[in-house]
Amino acid sequence: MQDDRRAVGGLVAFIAIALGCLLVGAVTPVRPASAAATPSAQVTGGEGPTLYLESCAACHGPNGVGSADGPSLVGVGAAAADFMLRTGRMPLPAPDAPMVRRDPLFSDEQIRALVDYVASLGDGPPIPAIQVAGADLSKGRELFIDSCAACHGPGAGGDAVGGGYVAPPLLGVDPVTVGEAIRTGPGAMPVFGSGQISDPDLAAIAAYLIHLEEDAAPGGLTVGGAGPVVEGYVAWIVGMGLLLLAVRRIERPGGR
Amino acid sequence: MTQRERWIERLVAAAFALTMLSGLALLAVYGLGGQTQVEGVLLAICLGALGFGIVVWAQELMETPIAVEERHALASQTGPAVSKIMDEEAGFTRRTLLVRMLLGALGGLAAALAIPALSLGPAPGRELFVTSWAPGRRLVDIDGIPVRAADLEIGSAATVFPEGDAGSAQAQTLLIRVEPDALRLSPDRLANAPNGYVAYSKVCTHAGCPVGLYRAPDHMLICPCHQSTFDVLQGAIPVFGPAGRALPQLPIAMAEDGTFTALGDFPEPVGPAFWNLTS
Amino acid sequence: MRLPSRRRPQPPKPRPQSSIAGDEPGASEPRASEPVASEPRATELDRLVGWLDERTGVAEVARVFLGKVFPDHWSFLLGEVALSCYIILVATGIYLTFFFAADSGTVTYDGPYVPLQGAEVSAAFDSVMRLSFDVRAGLLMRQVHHWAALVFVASIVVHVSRVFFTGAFRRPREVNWLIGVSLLLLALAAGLTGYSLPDDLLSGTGLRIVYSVAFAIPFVGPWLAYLLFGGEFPPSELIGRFYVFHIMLLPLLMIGAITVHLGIVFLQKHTQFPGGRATETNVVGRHLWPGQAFRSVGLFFVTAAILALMGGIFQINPVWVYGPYVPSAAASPAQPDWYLGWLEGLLRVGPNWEPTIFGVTIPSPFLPGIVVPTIIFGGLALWPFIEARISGDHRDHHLLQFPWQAPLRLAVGSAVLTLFVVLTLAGANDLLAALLDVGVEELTTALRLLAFIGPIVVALIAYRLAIEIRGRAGRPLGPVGGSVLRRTPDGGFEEVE
Repeated sequence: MQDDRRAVGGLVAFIAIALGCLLVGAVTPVRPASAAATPSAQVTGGEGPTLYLESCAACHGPNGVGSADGPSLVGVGAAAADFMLRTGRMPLPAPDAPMVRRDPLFSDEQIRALVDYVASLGDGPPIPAIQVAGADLSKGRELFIDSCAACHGPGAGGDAVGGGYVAPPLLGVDPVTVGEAIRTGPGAMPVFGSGQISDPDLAAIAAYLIHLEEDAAPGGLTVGGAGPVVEGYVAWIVGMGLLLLAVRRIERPGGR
Repeated sequence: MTQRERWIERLVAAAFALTMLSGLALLAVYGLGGQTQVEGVLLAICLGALGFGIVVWAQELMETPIAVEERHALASQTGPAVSKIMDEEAGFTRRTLLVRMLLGALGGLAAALAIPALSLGPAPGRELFVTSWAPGRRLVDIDGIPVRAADLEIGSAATVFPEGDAGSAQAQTLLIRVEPDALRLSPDRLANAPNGYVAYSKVCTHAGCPVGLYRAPDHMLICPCHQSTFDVLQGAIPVFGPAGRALPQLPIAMAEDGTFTALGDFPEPVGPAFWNLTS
Repeated sequence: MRLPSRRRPQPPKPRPQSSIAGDEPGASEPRASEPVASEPRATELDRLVGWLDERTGVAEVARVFLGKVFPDHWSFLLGEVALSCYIILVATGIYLTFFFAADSGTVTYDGPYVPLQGAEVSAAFDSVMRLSFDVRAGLLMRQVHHWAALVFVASIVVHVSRVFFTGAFRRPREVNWLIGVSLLLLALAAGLTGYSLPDDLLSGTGLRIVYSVAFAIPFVGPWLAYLLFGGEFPPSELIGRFYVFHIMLLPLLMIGAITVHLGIVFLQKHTQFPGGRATETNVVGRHLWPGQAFRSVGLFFVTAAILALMGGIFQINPVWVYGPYVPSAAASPAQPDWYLGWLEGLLRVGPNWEPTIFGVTIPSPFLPGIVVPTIIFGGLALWPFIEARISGDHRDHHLLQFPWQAPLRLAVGSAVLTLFVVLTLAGANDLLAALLDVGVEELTTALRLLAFIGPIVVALIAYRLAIEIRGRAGRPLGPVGGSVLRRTPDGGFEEVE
């Protein structure tokens, strides 16, 4: 009985933690599309070029020409710089650290200054303007399946794609970030120019991702959204688990 | 009836009452428009309470003593002399020739019955070796719109089909744009990949899934089903995973208007291998 | 065959009341287990049974049947769980057929699910969407059906494991073992055909792989694949054909096999664990009526409740997320339902060998997709005969063994289960790599090694452990011999000298 209670206590704690994580994830504000909308108090000053020299030039070289430790930034455009800085992928904590989502290092103002500076180095994709309101969900779904689901999964849950690369989960990613990634092809991702995915289509894909996150689970808990693998674990752990408990209860050892 | 039995009886009755109530609640939910989660939980309560009541009733309120049943020998008393009973006693005469011919006749009957079964599928033919690509056919996307060189950035890939056969499972092809001097192909194959635009069959040579993942920085195509990895720069040879053959390259040329046309079909069969692949 | 049903019909006469009527709720208090002769009053039920009995002699059959004794170990209910799942599958499946359209023809979806509006989908996919979004309780039934399928195979696996590790397959039960293995195969086939019916992206991808594996068999592959699928992939007749497999052919074969399976259990009487009054020549347990029947019926409802709960709470196979099958679209992760995960894993860790010998190409999926599964299932089916050959034990056994009493069997069984687990993990190597933050390539290589080493190590450990446990009793035994244990009242076991 004591063990049972402890097990139940553990389960409750686990569920509480899980729910807590969900809640934190849900209320964490998505960064607004326009950085100017939230003036940040933590600006420590510094123009774009200064910030660049302090934090970026070690790898990307002076004036963004690149070095042995980092690629050239000439012509990557505002979209790439904004994507990398706002998702915390850049700057890397160490030159050989993996390029993954982190908390951004800079304030919004600093990011804007840096983005302007990188954009001034050469022509590249600008930060896309994305209006998800009224976007075409059907088109978004079709494009997502055709161009994105191969790596990120039909449920946008993410997956490993080999070579040490991981296509990250996309649920909860804000529309501008989605658009920037499509246009710039960060990491292992291919580039999709406006010839392949038009600007309104960017909004359609972003809107579909919001739909996937909010409205695509009439069947209940999505248990990870990774498809049959997790469903199999649920079948064994929940289904067979409960059934074995039931069977043990029905034929109690030493019972009547 | 002891105190305990009375308590158990009430418990079982309460379980059955719960079944009634949740059944009625389920009806109400349905009537109000239905909601999958509520329906599932109510149905589970309805069935679970019923099962619980039945089990507890049997466990606690029925005296079911442990009984012992004897086993008997499983073999029939007639023993192994079945053939004797079936032959002589029953009047069946065994004629060796006729029995053999009967078996042969059954074989013939099986052959006759195989005829409708064989109609379940056509005989495999040339379609295993060819696709609908032909010289001069333009490369179009899944909606049938011609793909233009300017649509593809360096580092991007697009799924293309022969014009007039958009969506084809066999002819699906990946058009990939890499830096023009990056391809490491033989000169004749390089000539079929103008300006860094190279086209490979999208059907995996392992189990036929669409090789849809393109890892741009190291120019690898990956099959989502079993992670076979193909090197785009080196003629899509398999570098990892269970695929044993390279993805065939589609010879293409760029037209003046920026669209692409095929110079012919794939030089070898696309998709999974089969035994007479090389014939 | 001592079934009383083979008796001649008896002349109509008032029959002695059987114990069935006496124990029926409503006829008397539920506790009435005294001889029914003391109950002179004939109830409605007695009259009904009498009417039927005069025409069929059914009461005598029922009396024998309801008096059958069933040993009462909990693990003997695992097969009943599988049977309950099967019944629930048939019930929910019939419901689904009322709405499903086995039609590959193209229609335009115009239902309430916005992102698919205007999409060209097959009529089959459209009908699944309508069932999920427009039919009240339809989604629940669909999800219960799918969860029931997953749990069904899981319960078969647990049941087969119990039978295997306790030696319940030994003579005289080899035939029932073979039927059981056939049922497992039929369940896998039913699962696969069902998985493909909604015609969504995931199921189409799965079918494509199955087709390619059949295609890989030397000499007959392409013909076999065409006969099975009706032509080159993706054939237009596929949904209709797999529908017939899924709702007619396979369930019919299964219900036939289940009937024979249970009939043989009835004829041979159930096995039992040693201990108490149990011997090789008796069966100790509860009568079917009422003790066992109530428990079994209760278990059925509990099983149904668990599946209903899962169907209501956990979303399964959201076809609207996957979208309709498009041959040129790929999605990763792409996995089959769990029970085929090990086959998927075999294909993923399989070598890329594709030799051409005298002009005959051996496609790379042939070895992992056809040869290895054939060996595994062949070995599983023939195990009773293999074990009898090794141990030289050809006697009848009605008393079960505990797993450690047969070290070799325990070692082989644990090795196969370990292989199964490793391969299932390999079937999800991409997801596992993302979870563990390691490269897919490195993980696949590691799992390939583990598929060889893991089973051997586990087998050695299991063998050693079994010898240790057995050795504590200080009694040498053959490789698959037996010893006598007694079941203590608290459920434990003790060795009897």
